[in-house]
Amino acid sequence: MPDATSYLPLKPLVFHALLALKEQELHGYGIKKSVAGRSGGAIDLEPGTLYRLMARLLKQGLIDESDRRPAPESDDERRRYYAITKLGRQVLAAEAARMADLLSDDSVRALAAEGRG
Amino acid sequence: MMLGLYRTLLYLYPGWYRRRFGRDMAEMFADELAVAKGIGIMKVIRLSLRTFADLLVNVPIVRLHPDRLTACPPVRQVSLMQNLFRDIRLALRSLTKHPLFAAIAVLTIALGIGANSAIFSVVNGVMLKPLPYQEASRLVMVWTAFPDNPKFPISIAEYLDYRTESDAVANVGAYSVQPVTVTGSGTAERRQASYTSRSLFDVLGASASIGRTFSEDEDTPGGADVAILSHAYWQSRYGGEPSVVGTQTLIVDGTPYDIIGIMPADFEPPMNAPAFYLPAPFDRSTIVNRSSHNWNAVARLKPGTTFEVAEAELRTILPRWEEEFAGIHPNDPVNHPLWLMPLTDEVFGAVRPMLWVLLGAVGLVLLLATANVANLLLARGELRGREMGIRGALGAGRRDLIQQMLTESVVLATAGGVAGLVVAAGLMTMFKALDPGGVPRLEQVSLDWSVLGFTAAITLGTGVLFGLLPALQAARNDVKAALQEGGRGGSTGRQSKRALQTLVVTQMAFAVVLLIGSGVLIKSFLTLQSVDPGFQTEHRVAFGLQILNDTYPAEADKVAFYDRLREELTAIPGVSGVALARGLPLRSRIGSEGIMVEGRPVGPDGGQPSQSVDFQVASDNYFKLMGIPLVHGRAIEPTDVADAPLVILINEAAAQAYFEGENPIGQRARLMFSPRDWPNVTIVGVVGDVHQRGLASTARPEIYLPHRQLPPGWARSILASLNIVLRTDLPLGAIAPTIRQTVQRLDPNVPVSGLGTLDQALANNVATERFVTMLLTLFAAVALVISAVGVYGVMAFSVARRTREIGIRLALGAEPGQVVGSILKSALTIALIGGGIGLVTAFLATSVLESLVYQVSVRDAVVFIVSPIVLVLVALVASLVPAWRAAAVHPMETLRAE
Repeated sequence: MPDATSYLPLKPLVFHALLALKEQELHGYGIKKSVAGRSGGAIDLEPGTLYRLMARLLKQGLIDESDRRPAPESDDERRRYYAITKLGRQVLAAEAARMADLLSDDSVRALAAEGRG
Repeated sequence: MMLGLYRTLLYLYPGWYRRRFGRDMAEMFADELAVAKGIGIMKVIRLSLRTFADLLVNVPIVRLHPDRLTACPPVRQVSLMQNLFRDIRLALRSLTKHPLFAAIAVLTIALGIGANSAIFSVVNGVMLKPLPYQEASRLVMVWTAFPDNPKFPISIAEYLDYRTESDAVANVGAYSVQPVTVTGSGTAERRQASYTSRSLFDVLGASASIGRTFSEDEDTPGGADVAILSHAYWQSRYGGEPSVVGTQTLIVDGTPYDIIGIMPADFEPPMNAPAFYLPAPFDRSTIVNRSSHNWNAVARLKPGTTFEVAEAELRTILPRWEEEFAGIHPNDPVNHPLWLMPLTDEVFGAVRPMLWVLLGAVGLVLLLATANVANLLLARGELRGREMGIRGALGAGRRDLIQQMLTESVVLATAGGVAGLVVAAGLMTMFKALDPGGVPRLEQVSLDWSVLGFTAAITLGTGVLFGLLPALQAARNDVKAALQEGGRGGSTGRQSKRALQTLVVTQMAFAVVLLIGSGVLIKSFLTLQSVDPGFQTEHRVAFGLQILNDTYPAEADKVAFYDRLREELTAIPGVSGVALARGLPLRSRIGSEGIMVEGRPVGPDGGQPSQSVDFQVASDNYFKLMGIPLVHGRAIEPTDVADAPLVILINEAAAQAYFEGENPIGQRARLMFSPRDWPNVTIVGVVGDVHQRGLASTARPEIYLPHRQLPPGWARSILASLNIVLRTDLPLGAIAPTIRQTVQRLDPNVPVSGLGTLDQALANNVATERFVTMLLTLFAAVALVISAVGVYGVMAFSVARRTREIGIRLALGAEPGQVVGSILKSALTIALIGGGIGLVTAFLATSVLESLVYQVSVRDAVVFIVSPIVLVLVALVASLVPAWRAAAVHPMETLRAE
């Protein structure tokens, strides 16, 4: 299996998408809504961009098409659901660790406080 | 419809990609569309534009780097790309071989696309972008009305009561924008101040970008004097220095206000852009006066409450108020209600019809341009029959031929689209320069991503549209026939000709629609411009000024200031007269009053008209200087001073309304809103009507009070801010500095504002009409030129194809005149059919102009007759050259060439 750190740093879009899939398997529109919610509306994905991202993450082996279905009441027959892979989880965790390291630096935290005004 | 279009556009993706993701993408778009439909049409349009732009961005990336994506078949894509590149190479080669053809086609498309992108960018920037307020769809304006004035600001008591009593709205904010004088560093300046309730910022969902907005203490009477600056004013007066917050004071009308905050750059209250915000503290229990109506109010509907619910609630509140305030200016559900208007309608209502008409017009222009290029391609396809035949014989499939032709037209369209962006940028610069003033947010319009997306979409659309017909035509070509006929085409030639003619007829029809539309607007504009404003505008220069009540506390001080000012201005060489007025016609609004004629019963049954009258204040010499005719009696004289008998003049409309059949001179009347102890006034003169509020609105009854005879309370506010008009033969540029110096010398704290000529005021009054008329005329002219080129093209083509036949006819003894006649006849037939269809279409379509015209029928007979005639003439002129060429055909040479 490839080294998870070789995928870093992740683009915010990829990070948000993987984060959304870490919690549950989702279809395209579900990923869009989850990412939009998580980013406070800053990232709004249209189908073209979203599915190109899916195609790329599939190729990289970070996600997979799901054969399991979520709870029956929220299931939507027509849709293809996506799930995060083991490698995907490792990459996500590595990225989180990288960001946490960055934040443990005092000068970065001071800057962040300034940025929030 | 959108979904179907999207599904079709998904075919732009490679097949392997589409098969894997296409269905899911369409499903996702369907979900988003369903959500957007629940919000409104604007949301749907924005979503569609974004999604199409997103598609156009992603297709090339997928096609260029398929190897990074899953499910990509490794070998196939290379040949696909190669195919595409080969077609593009072929297209470029073919186009560069015929530079004239390519240039004409690109130019035509560039004009069409450029005009569309420019108008779309205006529509997008002005109407499609959300208003800069949180959840603007839940905001409503609160207005009141009077019998003769359907839309009026509300009073502070009405605002406070509505705020307390409404359950449908979450909160209401009020503001009143007034001109004030700012003194302090440098010269005094006139600025717009917004007296603002604290709640306004909450309602609009705005907070200060630096510092804060008003606190609760500052919003109650006796609170501190504090000010919040607009971003623009902060930049211009303080150079954007953040430290002014909390340290500097702003001196407004002599009172210092501490600066506590700066608003963000994109914030301004609806319909106003004040320089700064001052608190408007009120205590409901101390307010008795319900009749002073000068507050704009915005309410935010509670979540889940609809506009209709809020309206229905008002209908239950108003009767309550009618009872509660009986005797003290009660509200009345019929004559003096409060009413609501969605904020988006308020801001865009006036320009919406204009922008849609312009967008429709440029859409037609683009269709015309597309038809022209399709014509060119068809004619060329005809000549290229042989090339296609050979390629077919060498093994190119139908599909390959269509694909190649389509690639060619898309390459053409793309070149046109890129050139069109340049045209669009030029047009937008022109729009902004011509800004009629009435278009909200015009200055923010720019070529942004949505405009680029729109341009890309119409470029692709037109490319496919004008390429499709010729491509199919080329592919239908029978190899054998094409080779045998030496590329001249037999049956396919006739088909081409019919297609060409159909396109030209369509063009003619559209051109007639545009001609008629612009004709109606031109006639309306001329009618409006020929309206007599009721006064002279040439050689008149006007300005406004504001004097401080602190410097000139008494009425006599103010009058003395104006006397000195008039004296000094009259002394300027080249100035032949100076007069004062409260607000000059077509330049500024004046207030309303009511009059009650002495000796007549009061009350609705007593025959006293209950309407309000425009309330003008003027000095002696005003009527003479403005060229307003004196109809009866006398004008205002210098002797009409404070202790002389009180007089007023009325205009003819007022004489008609109050004294029909009677002589108004010598009649006495009470000014309805004057103090109780103020004596009745005597009418001493009747003057002509002036269009105070604009050329398009009819003159209203108006009264004129001498500026030296005002009740003291009125004098304080009215005399603080008068307009000065002077008559001079000097140009504005020559006299303006002298005027400023004169005022400055008298009192450096008095700012001069709105210095300009009355000619300018008259021109500004019709600026919006001029803007839309000019643009539509421009589009109609472009349409005419394009259709002339179309007619020329189809005739030239027909002559070229028939050279041999014409040669034979001439050899057999036909007169050249007959040949010319037959060519002109077929041009005439095309023009008549097209013109006829256009007439019918225009008859059905011009009703969209209804709200844009002034006293002209949108089905004006003259316009409907003249426009098709113009078109027929243009068509005949355009076919003269081909006809002449046909007549000049040399019989022997033609036959020998065979």
